[in-house]
Amino acid sequence: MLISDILSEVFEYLDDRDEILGSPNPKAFSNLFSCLLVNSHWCESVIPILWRHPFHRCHKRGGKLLIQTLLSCLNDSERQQLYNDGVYVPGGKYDLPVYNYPNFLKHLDYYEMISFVKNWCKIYLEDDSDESVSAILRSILKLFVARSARLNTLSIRSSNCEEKYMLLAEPGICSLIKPLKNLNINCYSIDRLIIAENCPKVNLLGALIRQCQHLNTIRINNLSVNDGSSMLVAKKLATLIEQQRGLKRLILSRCKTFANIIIPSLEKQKHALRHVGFRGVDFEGCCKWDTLKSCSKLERLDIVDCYNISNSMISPLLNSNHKNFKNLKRIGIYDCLPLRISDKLESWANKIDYRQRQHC
Amino acid sequence: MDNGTSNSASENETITLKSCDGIEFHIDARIANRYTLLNNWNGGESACIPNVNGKVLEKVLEWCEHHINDPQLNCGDDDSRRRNTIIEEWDENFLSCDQDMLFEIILAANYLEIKPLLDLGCKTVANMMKSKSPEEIRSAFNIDNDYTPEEEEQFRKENEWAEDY
Repeated sequence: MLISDILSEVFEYLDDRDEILGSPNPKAFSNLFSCLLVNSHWCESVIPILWRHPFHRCHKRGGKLLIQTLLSCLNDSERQQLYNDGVYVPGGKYDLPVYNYPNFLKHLDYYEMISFVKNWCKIYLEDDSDESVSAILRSILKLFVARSARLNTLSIRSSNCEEKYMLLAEPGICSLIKPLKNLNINCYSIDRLIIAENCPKVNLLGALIRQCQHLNTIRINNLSVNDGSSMLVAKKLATLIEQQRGLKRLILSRCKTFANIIIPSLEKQKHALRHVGFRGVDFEGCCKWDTLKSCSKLERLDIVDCYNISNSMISPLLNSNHKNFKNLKRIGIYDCLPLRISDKLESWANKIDYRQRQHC
Repeated sequence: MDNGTSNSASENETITLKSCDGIEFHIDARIANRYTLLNNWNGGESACIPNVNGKVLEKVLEWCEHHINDPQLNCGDDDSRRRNTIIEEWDENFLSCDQDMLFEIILAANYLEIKPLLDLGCKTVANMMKSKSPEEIRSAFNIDNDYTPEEEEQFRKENEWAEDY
């Protein structure tokens, strides 16, 4: 039979790769589930893969079972702490899990986690009050810290639960977000956090700026004007970008405004950025793309479904030569508006590509 | 490992490799150029590739020869490697061998750091596991169940969230 290293490689192909391709394979996780029950040797290789992003693909029923297993990892003093916070976690036959499951967590989809905890509270406690949900969230987040989970990716999404998001910034929990390498932000939730009156100074973006300075990738989705605080959100995001020690990838998706605030923030990352992607971005009123031109290590640039791009914005690119982009291997320009600008960008991309080939 | 070097050797150049059971293979030098470890064993009179017997090395080299003109992979981009779950017809036929040989090829590809062949083998084995119950997998791969019923039940319970879809 195959050695453990190779078994792990095989199991990687049973992870949810189909979802990455855009055609969800709902059986992906159940394939891994079957494998872990084959024997103890296989189980050892499957568990780290299965538990690295458990919140990612779990459906509702699975979600509450996941929370149940995580709570069963709490030791006596952690259970007591939760009890002191007003939540009694019923014991069961499987109180001592064989593996240190929380240790394997690498990707946390916090929005999903909140929703699973709420569901668990509703079913097992018959009480999904904010206090109970927050107590359990806090307890599980502390569990991840106590069991030395090294979080790699954090996703935060649309939600009305500002105080629950702020748990991530609490002392004793915020160390969880320190080693983050990838951050996915859906801005609908963030703007509410900023204006939360009970936490004007300590907000999640502020905490992220303070704690996370080693990000490789930032993805920002749905940045748009919702209210007066939106500008502040954009500025905080720009600061987050600037604060990184070496941001390699920035992806802006479906952002309806504030490109003029985000783009200049790339200046501080010009020697680090390898991949910049704009998808569905409205560039109305944006500044010239000088900072893009100065990204000397750029290997990939995607500008897809973007609109309101002007001649003036792209002029730094058009006036560049292949030396500015000597590392650029992949340029994707598709379906941008206005068409004449899209054509100009495409012909620039072709020119760069041609020159790179000649240079090679 | 696919080292990203260009195939600087010409079509007529050949090198000699020897399997652990002493069988010699004279192969296109461009193949060895693509895979550093193959190149390391080139030409040594007594040097042979340990751990890889003639039957397996023949299959590995057959695969390498067929894929000699494939574009070089970008090393380290694990995610994009694994995104591609499609297996081409020739490769599928190539790996339609008995299970022992399939595992030997995978182990050899791993040992010789021929990443694309390792990936292909792993994909093939993964496909053999898909949509099967634990019992069916044990039977397909001739594996003993070393769990006690209590252990199996505990693992099932603790990971039941992943069963749900």
